[in-house]
Amino acid sequence: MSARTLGVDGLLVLGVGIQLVCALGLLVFRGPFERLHLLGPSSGLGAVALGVAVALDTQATQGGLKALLVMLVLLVTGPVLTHAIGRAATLRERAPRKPEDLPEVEP
Amino acid sequence: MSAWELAALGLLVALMPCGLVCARAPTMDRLVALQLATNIASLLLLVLARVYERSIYFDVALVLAVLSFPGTLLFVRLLERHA
Repeated sequence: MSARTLGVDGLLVLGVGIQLVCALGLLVFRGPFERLHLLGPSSGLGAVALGVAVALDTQATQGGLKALLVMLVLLVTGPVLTHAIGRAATLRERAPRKPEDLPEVEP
Repeated sequence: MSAWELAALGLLVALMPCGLVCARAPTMDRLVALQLATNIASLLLLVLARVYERSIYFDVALVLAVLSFPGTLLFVRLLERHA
């Protein structure tokens, strides 16, 4: 087994492991703010590991460059979307309650 | 079964908790799970393109990764307005 194959397999295990841990974390964490933390490793290190693994194992003209491009897109858009979702969650939490949402009080 | 097929299977399994949270959690948690599912699906399509060794399949992963950005921003905008 060559060093390149070993490296590709290691990156595959790392990438898939990170995605699995992040997905299982959705079931463990509670609330949008805790769960938002899971998007970082998924679009960061996990995407980089899988993108580089595919790019190393594929010729550049056969899709290797596109794999790196997918990785780059996930890497750049991930933090922006995390921030946007966090902002929306904060706005929804701070929004004043409508009268019909309040519980009825017994006279 | 090759390492790439096992990786695709692992990513497929990782999509299941996202689907569960999308179906059962409150609204903002669903959006987080949807974003995580989109990330995983893009990478799954990337790995599947390598499994089938068809260079045209890489375009599908690229299109999903690019289009998920405005899609999620639209969801965020809608949910902010209905706060």
